[in-house]
Amino acid sequence: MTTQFPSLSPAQKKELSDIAQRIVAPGKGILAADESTGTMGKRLEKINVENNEENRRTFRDLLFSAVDANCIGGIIFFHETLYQKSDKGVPFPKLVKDKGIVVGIKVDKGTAGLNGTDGETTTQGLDGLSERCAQYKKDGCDFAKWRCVLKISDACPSALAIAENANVLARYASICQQNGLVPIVEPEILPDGTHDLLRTQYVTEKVLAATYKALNDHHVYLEGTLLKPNMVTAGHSCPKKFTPQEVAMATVTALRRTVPAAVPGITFLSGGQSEEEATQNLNAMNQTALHRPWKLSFSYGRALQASALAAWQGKASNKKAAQDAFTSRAKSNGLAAKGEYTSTAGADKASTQSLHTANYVY
Amino acid sequence: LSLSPSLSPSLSPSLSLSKSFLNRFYVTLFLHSLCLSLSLFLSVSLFIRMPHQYPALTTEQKKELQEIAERITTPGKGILAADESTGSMGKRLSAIGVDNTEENRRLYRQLLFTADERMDACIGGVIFFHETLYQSTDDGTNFAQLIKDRGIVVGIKVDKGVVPLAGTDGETTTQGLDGLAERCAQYKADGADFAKWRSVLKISEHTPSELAIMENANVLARYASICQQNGIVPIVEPEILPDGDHDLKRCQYVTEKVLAAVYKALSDHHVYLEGTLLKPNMVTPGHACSKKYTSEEIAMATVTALRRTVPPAVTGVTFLSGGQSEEEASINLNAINLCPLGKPWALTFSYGRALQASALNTWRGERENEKAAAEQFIKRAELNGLAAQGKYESTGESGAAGQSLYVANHAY
Repeated sequence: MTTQFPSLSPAQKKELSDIAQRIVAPGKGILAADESTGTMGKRLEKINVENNEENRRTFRDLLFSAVDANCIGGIIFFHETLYQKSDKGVPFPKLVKDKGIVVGIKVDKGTAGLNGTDGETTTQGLDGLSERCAQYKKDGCDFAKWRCVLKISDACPSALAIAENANVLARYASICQQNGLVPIVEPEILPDGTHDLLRTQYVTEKVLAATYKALNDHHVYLEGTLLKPNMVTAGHSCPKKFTPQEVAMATVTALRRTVPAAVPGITFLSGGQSEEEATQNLNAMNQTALHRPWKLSFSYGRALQASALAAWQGKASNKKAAQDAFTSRAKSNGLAAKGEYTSTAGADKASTQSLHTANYVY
Repeated sequence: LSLSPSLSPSLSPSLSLSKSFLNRFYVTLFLHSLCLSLSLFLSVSLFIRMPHQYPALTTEQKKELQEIAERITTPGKGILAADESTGSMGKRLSAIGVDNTEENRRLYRQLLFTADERMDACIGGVIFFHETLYQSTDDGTNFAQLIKDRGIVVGIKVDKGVVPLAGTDGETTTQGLDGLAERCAQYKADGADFAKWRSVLKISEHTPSELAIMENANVLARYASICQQNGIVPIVEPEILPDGDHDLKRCQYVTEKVLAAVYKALSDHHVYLEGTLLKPNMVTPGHACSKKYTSEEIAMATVTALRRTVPPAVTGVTFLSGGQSEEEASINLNAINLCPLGKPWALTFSYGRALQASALNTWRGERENEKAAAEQFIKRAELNGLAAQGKYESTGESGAAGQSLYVANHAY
């Protein structure tokens, strides 16, 4: 039968809702600085920097010292980073919090194979999650992030992959809220493949419908959550190219068909997009003619840090240049989150406008 | 095996045995390979149960459906639910001492449909019952044509009533899917552009059950899918009855569960949401609930429930009035439109009783009362048109009293 056994008190709901609203305040988005040790290794390797704890600390310090609270509402940490300190000995969470930025923490423990599928996965990390969340809350965190991964191919995503990942995301979200953490729900559909824009849109709609049904089944308080989806783009190897306006239209349409208005904000992942691409696409979304009842903002990792990493090269003398590069990207994305970004590359603007397909019904 | 049948008798039994054995062997072999290929086929097709889009609708079909839905829910307009079945109409008529004849039903609907042009500004659609779609005015104008010529969209009730769900506590599903595609095609040819299908759920200690929620959601989605294939906008109506002593919170909770299931089913059935309308109950306490609530509380609970479940792509929400009085239904709709939460869909009315109660009472079956009765109807239609924009000023006191009891939205 359907009786309500309240999972959250009004005070708990208010706290969660307030946190979510703060993160996606107008013109603000999220810096995803939660690269795991292994992933950080890949980033550092590209600029010939050794992947050790000190280097990771130094780079994060570079970012967190410069971060502008006017365009960054929240930062996602990796566990190690949460307990590191700045050059001046200030714990990172405190440094960030004192700037008025909300501290978040990646809590999943990576993907695990789903037997009997074509290489599909679910995500683990539920064991003892409640206790971990309680501890993270004490240590300064107010939101969390959990990434599920799906892929598009001839046979994927399968019904199992969709159902299992939706369910595990809902369990994670439910546990987070019990411990005062706003869960960012991330059902990433990878851009790998030759599929076109319409196929991604279709899959995204199915995945998100399943996600929100699961969240409802698990009694998750939507006003105290955020969604971190992929933008709807064509596969990387798709021969046909699409404009930011087409990407925006397909994305916003998919979201309008699946994401309830109660969700305060949608913070896109950048996936494999370049910094400029990610900004332009976000900007186009905030300019679509379709009504959007949630904030549309960013939760970017690479798309905020690529230039900064390249400028840094692991050298202290490059610190300022790296910080400038980062700040510039953050500002651009803050503007894109309001639909006010103007690309300096005039040619881009012209070329995208001419390819816009007016009134295309998605 | 190549032994000829002319062998010695002593061998023939074993031969026939061998023959039949071999026959059976071949048959078994055949069956096994059949099974094998079948299971291979099945496992392959199950394996390939991936989301591929086989377009259900063309671009033009989608455009047409969305435009119809938008026309019905133009700001300031709502729906006149005039689709009372013969049986339901019987109840209405007997309450005013009028015989339930075809002619009386025709006369009554005529007085509504011939109301003056003030109706056109606040009625975007009219839901017909099958019989009425083929009736005419005194001067022979077909009702559907009359309504259409006024610029109002014609709708048709297509369900065939509720049937019990065995093994539940008196719960039901709704029938009417058989031959629905053909019926929709015919209705479209006869002037209808939207349809309505009512599923019913109830709140009690053990209801609605999971089965009732799931089955009604599924049948609504099948209906919606079939409608769209035939150019008809489906109004999806998962009514949760107000009977009972449950409070506002319980109704809100149940409404959220029901609507979440409805929209998951619509997604599973590939229904084009922009070309649909939702006709839900408002979130209210049960009729027998001892606690009273203000219209602001009802509005907040209703809008909150919708925000948590109804995707923004849905063009409009047209509330049913259930057992509410005419005044109540208008006041609540108004409060809903004044609710400070973001509302990405049109929020308007699809009222039956709440538009017609006074009109029926005034008419009482007398031709000389027709004008006065139509006036009552127009009055309610205009007031609800205002309520659909949050511009209704009630003459009652609930406005002021309601404001002081306003509860902040995070408590819902």
